[in-house]
Amino acid sequence: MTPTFPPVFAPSTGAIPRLRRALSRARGVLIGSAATLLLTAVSVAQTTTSGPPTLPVPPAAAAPPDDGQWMMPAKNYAATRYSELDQINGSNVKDLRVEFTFSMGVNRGQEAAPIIVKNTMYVVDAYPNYVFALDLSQSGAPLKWQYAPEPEAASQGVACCDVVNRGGVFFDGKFIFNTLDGNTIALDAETGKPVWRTKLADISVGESITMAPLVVKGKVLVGDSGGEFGVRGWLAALDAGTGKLAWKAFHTGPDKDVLIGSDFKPFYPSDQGQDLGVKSWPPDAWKIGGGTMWGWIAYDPDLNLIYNGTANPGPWNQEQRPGDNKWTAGIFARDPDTGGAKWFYQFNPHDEHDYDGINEIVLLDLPVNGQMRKVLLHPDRNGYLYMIDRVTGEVIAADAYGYVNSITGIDLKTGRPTINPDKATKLGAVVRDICPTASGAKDWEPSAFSPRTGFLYIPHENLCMDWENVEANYIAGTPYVGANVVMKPGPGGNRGFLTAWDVANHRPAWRIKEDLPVWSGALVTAADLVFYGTMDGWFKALDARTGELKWQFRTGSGIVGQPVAYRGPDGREYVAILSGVGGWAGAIVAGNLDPRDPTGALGFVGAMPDLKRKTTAGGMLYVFALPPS
Amino acid sequence: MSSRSPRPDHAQRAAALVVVLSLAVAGCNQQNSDIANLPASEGGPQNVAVTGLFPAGGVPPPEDPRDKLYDGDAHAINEGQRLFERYNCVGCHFHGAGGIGPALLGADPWRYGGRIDQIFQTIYRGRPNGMPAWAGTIPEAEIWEIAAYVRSLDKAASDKPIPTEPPPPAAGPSPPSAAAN
Repeated sequence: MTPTFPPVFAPSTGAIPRLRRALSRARGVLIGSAATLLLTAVSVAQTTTSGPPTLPVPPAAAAPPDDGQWMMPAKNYAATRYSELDQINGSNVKDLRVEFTFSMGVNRGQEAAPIIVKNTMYVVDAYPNYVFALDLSQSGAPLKWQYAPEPEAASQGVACCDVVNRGGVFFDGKFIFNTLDGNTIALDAETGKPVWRTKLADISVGESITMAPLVVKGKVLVGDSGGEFGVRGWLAALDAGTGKLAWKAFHTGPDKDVLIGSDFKPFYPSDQGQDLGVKSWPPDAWKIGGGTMWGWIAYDPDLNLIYNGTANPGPWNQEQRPGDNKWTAGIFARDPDTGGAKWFYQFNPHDEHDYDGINEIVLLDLPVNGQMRKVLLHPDRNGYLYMIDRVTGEVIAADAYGYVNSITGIDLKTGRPTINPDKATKLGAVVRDICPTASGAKDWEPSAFSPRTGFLYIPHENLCMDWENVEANYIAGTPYVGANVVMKPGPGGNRGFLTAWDVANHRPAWRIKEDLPVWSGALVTAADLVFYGTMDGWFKALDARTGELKWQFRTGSGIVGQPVAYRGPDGREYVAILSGVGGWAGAIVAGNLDPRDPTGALGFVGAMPDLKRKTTAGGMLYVFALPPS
Repeated sequence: MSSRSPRPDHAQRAAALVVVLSLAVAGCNQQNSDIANLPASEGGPQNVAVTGLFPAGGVPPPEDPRDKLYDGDAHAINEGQRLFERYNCVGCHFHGAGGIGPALLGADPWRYGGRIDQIFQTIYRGRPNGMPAWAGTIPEAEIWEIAAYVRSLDKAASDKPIPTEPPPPAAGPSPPSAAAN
């Protein structure tokens, strides 16, 4: 079959049909070859625009000017993870050094983004989810307060992929975060005293919470984890002042539970119809069908819409749930005031490879065929980077950003992926070399976008897997999976990439191979530096335009965190990252798993037997700066 | 579902238990004779220590006599393997590597003891950091069989080499790495 890995500098498969249509309309000619098409496209671009092409930009209302703080994990509602700070640059980054460290006291996967507001840094630990506030105005950033939420210890038994936490958020004098056992807690940011605590998830049915909340218009948005436990996924909104539930939207079941009403206008016919969250499942299967929300949310204030993905359907064994399994493995646009759904698009109808849809969503405005479009970018687990009209839910382009053989392309007319039948999963048969893995061409680790380069910096994986369906048996509070999976390195053997994706041109500008999966988020700054970490503990700075390695520092453990940049009280620029290997990819070390059984940790152990000799468990905050001048 | 219905082997095992227990009972305390009064598949081990520290000259409690019936028994191990999947143990521990729950192959030392009666107790009572309590859900004879299977995993792994390199990569086109402008 034809590989769908795009060669560098070739036009995307997603862009070709649209260009072809546009060109046909414009010139009344049929373009035969991709090479001719590329040349013609360039000349069309030159004749229809004056001056250099406009780079994509985040909508101003969702990405306000940088005030030097970092108040939410994704930096802003557009989720660019772009810092306007530029003191640390390509020339002086070689002098970057550790300014202070802080031990998290827990040696599990540290996935949280440090949050910096008014000279205080807030960090959330992996389970048991301690929160630490550090005083940045004093030398060495001493502890200002700490808070122990005391989650139920049993919650560790329903956390599919290490006991991680993706961080908290600052809003209106409060630091708000979630606990593994399903509580959302608001602390007084000055004192660390709890203001409110709301229990949202129930571990007895397999629910937990690992995501970072987002506050939109005074509402705290929180979703559940537990897609491997037969839960029914949801997104909830709490009043940020009181913690009271404002609305809760389920991701399976009848329309009234999903908050689908008369103003729900999905773009594609396959998402139109009544109660599809029931009808696209075998009887009652939607009640234990997954579709959780443990990832990222973006918000467009101009459109007054929030965007969030939904996770995999359950069980993984697809033969137990014929149908499209709405509304799993897709993306919702909702009104943040009411939770009402405006549109939905399903990346993976009837997902059969655990391709969750919860990866980051980055909001951008850019010209498409000469017209400015409001889009969102979403690099999905299935290996395709989607460019979607965020007003309507129309897929504008879908380009493979990693090696994919489970899907041969995305049909832009129907929005549906074309499934490769050779990689369909079966009961009692081992289907070999499915690419990408259940963990995807990328997982939760968020990308960063620079308006200076127009590149999306995608930290991701290069893994394939063998998969055998087995019968899944539902017992509340226990795993509901039904698959034996063994992962392995993808083509070429390197298990990770940092890809700089040229958004406007639908192609990689450059990419860095990493031996291990890249499980850390990315940060890009106005000085054109990209920061990310590796699972063996290197924290790296690359030239954002070329990918050249400019600086690296070996931290104490593997990095699976989210780098951030901020301006300290002394006016200097700082870069912060948590070190502490874990998460799904690092579970072999964080959980001390045994590689003699490659099916461990849902198959990830198979791909990572060497991690134990490349890093050890840890949990440490590192903050870097240039020496004071 | 046959897992809750009595099987002939249970009767045989009950008979064997009587023999074992009558041997053990002679110099034994009241607790063991209490166990002897129970059917083979009822009542977990009464005295399972999960520590090696016994202050003031204390001694470890005796092994549960049923250990010998199940430990290493091929039929119990086979049944245990089936039940390990049936009750979703495999969803957390996989085939011994661990994942959500700890490894069962030896990479991770036994936290609450690796003797079969200690494993029984871990399954029966649950443990604080995520191990569910299965008492009342899984019949006790089946817990013994699962415990026998878990023990067998550890034993079988002991002479297997521990891989330290990733497997060969899947076939397919490898993309170029850094291709600067």
